[in-house]
Amino acid sequence: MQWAVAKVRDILRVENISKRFGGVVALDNVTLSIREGSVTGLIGPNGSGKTTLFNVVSGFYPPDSGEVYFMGNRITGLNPNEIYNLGLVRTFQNPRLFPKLTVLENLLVAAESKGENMTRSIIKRNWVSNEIELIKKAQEITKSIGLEEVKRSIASDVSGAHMKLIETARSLMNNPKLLLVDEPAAGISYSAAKSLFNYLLELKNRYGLTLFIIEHRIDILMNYVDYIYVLHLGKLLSEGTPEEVLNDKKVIEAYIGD
Amino acid sequence: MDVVGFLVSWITLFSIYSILSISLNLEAGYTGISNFGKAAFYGIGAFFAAVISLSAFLMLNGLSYPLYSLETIISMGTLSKQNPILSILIFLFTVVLAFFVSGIAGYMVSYPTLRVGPAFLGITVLSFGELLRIFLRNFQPTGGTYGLAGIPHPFAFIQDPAVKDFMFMLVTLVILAIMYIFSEKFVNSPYGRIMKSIREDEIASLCLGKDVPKIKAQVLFIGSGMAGVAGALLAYYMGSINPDIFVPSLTFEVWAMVILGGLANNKGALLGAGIITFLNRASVILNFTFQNLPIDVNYIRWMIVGLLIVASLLFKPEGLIPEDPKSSFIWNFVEEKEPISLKKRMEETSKKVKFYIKKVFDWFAMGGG
Repeated sequence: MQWAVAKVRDILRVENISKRFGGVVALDNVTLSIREGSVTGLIGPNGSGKTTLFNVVSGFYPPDSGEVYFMGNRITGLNPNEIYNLGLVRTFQNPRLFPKLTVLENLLVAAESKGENMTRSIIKRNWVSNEIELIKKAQEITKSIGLEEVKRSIASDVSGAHMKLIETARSLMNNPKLLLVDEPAAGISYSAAKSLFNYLLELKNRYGLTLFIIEHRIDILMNYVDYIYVLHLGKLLSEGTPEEVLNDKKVIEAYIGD
Repeated sequence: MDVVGFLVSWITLFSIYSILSISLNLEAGYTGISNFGKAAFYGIGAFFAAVISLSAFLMLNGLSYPLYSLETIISMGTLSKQNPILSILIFLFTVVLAFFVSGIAGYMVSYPTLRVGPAFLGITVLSFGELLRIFLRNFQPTGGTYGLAGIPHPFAFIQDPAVKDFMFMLVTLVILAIMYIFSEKFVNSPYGRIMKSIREDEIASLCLGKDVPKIKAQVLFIGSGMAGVAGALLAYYMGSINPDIFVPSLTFEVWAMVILGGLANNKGALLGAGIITFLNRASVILNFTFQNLPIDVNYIRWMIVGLLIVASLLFKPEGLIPEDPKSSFIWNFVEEKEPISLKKRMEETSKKVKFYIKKVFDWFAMGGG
């Protein structure tokens, strides 16, 4: 019965995940869960396994042991594309755009189109109405995210800040439920980072998302998250509300050193 | 000089090579698969068509000669003229089946390498082609190094060889048109967009819900199948084939066409095939006309091809007709443009043609200055 309750409240459950790369233990028995509709942060010093955790959850690496549940379904061992189509979307730390495609097409690739099937794609009638819907949706997103003036340009011609926005815009195309955001504020100014976080929260409310954010800059993150997990050397060091974590002696030690 | 004969042979060769270059463009230009084994699938199609048509004619007439024997070649000369409908039916049947046979071969050869980097696939397919060629050189049932001869021409019943070649040219052009239209449909659909996204970034495509290995396998199936059709056409056109036609340098000739014409643009693939097959045909004719030159003109052709590749990579690396990122129909929709009607387009083209003709006349009127 306990599980049934958890199924309703937790969108993602990671149970006893371990991952080794040769002799390096990147993740050691990590267990965590994320509530639906929450904003959860994941912090930790460099090399603590944050991005590895994202890679395991999004299906990029298979875990050595442990299970991942998304909306009550086991997703361990599925391919990244299958996990994406379930509604679990990750973004990359450095935007990975398709440089020779236009910005609008970069968004359209992310959607699941009816013309994706090889045999269906030959006959335009099969997919054209679906395609027009997707274009409208992409245009809506570009308008709301502030990419209106660059949507016609080739993705390699836009500025770095726009690239980050395109990466976020793209992740909204397929009605995601959970967004794994990898260091959204890395390399941008304090005020820009703040407006980006405000924007992420706005998106969360508008599209009913759950956010799971890796961020190095704890000072910014603290104002936006409901719950924080701290990783250190592959182990879960601490968890709790921002105040609890900030006052945890173990966390301070891990960051400042012995 | 026989201009019509030259044009007919050039256009036939152009169609066959265009099918190859379009198929390579689908793989390399749009999907980013470096297929260095085009010749292998071209050869599979050619040998398949030859074996099936020869054995079909022998079987239907109750003969049991080996496929490569003088008796077969001699009997084919008379048998292929007897029943026009049968010849054409066998021709169409083998061409269609060559698509599937080569396609499945392409799928199976590339299957183990789809999940690793592009270089692995290129090398695997290249070495597969060489292995297959060496195997066929030593495989007696298909004639070993001599290959197969006497492949029954589908229009053998036509007496006049010029008309026969002309008919065959029309058939290859029709098949080329079908291939061109199909590949244009693919690349301008959402499927084509995913092909391009795989070319740009495989990992990002995978993380955006695209089944990258599956799509690469499908593209290789189509591409290899098209190469197989080209091979079948070549077999019927030449009448005889041997394993040494399908050497790796043929693959790189097709690559040269695609690079010269422009990657990720089917019109460019056609243009590249046109230029290189023109050089090919022209050098053959020059060889005939000037027989006491100190060197073989065929070698000059290779020099010219090499020069063209270097020049195009230096001055126009994207090819003569570069990729158009706004070619798909979504841009007409987004910009709310009226689609240009065929009539208007024809009017514009004729205006352009008249303009250039006038320019040429003016140039002559000025005394060539």
